[in-house]
Amino acid sequence: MDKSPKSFRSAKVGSIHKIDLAVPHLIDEAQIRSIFSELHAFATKDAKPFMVIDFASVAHMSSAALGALIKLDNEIRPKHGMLALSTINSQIMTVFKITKLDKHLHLFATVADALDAVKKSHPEA
Amino acid sequence: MAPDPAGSRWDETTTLHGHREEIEALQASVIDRLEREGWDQEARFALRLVLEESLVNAHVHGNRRDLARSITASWSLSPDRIIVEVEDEGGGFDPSCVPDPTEEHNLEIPSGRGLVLIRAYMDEVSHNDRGNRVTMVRHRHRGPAAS
Repeated sequence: MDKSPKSFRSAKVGSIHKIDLAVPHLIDEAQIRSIFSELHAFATKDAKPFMVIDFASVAHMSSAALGALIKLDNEIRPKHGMLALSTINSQIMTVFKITKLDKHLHLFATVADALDAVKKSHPEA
Repeated sequence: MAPDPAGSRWDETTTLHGHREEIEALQASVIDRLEREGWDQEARFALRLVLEESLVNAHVHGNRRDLARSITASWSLSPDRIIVEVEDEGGGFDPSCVPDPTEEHNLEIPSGRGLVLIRAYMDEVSHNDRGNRVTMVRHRHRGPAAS
């Protein structure tokens, strides 16, 4: 049995997958691959996926994590779903701004704001 | 730190092979020293990220994930700046040929952002002619990363 601590917690809010990342460093390529393969599975299974990923516990992230987020968004967007990210600390927000992904991805100050935004733009969520 | 009898310009030179624990050990060594010398949190965040990106680039793109090949990482800290150099055993690359991932039409491409981050967080970034060694300098007193 795998006794390693879970890297994220997931819950359903309506049809939205709410993901709370539970790792302080989203840096290691193998760990990122492991986390995002599970998130991809959620996105693949749903006809129209909605997902909110909360970054409250994340203090550091690398370009490998940015790449994984883009791949996930590339999976969700064509299915007319929505990926929203929340509670990003100021240093990680700078990483999004440098790479101009703050304009490409949907970023929100709080989980509640992210959930509201998904529900507003997709009342069926 | 012990004096270097060879008179090296570096405070520390390490040989790595791309293992995660080696990368994290080097990051810890640099970050601990920055903290002891009173460098602020933004600088420590920047150096952790820059070490991550440059070492992973060296392992993945330079050494093609070959754990038998080496990466040589060196760093030197003075009161007003830190210099980091990372060299792999690959054939090198031409940094001017890397597509800009911040261009509108490249935003959906999942790779290629490591170099953009390194350039934003460091004040000087240069490559040797072969393109297998990157030298990066960050000054202690500077504004936040350009965005």
